[in-house]
Amino acid sequence: MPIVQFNGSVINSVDQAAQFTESLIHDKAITGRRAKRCFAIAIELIQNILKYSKGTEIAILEIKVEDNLPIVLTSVNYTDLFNRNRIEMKINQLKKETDFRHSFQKKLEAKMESPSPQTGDFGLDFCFRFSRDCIFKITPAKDDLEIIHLQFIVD
Amino acid sequence: MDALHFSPSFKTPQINFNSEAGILEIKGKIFPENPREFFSPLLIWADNYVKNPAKTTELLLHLDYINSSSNEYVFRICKMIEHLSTKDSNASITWVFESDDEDMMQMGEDYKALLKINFNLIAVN
Repeated sequence: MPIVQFNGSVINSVDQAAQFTESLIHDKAITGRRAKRCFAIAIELIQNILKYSKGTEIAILEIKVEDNLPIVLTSVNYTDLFNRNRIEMKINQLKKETDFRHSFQKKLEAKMESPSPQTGDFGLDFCFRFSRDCIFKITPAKDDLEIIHLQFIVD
Repeated sequence: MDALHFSPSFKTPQINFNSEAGILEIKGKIFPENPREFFSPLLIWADNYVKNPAKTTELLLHLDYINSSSNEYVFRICKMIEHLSTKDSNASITWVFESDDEDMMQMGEDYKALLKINFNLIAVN
């Protein structure tokens, strides 16, 4: 389907994403815990996109802010089957966690044995730290690529 | 041993590591583009410091925000200071958070639960 309209900012780094998110938080007068969580999840989603996007550099981060409604952060990007499975498995694991903070502590301790060479794997744990309200969808795309939609809601 | 000072930027914190005073301070936001590159000099400095520490050491963490990958590196520095406390050195960690920032408070509590060291959580306004 061709793009018929685009309204947003084109960014290509975590730095730009952070500045965009901070401006949005300021412009929409989001404060306190909501602001910090919105910022934190946006950064992790951008890092997730940068790490897992395959096939094309085009990806979307949408931050939807409406009066008196929760903030909805959505990332959409192409990836391959291998990474799709990896993310899906990770999210399913995180959704099953009952003692999330204890589990997080154990993972942090385990990381001391093998620190991540890049960002990404621990990022979803962080998103879940700030919001347990996560929706994950997959849309088949061309060739061996799939489109993943990852959404977190901040009350 | 030379002190290590980094000025803060939009995505990296202020760093003040002073071996004579035994104060290691990290203050601000942490989400560098390349965490390994950013933390490498800090880890090298801390590694050298623990070989010849001051009589008392305080790691002071006052973080507004920390991303997931940086979290691993900050915790690694904490572990190095924890190791000091098992020797004859008097070492402690102080975690400062804004009083309305429940998330950073909980992060501090999680660190405290994992570290066998005098760990102080301090709320500020």
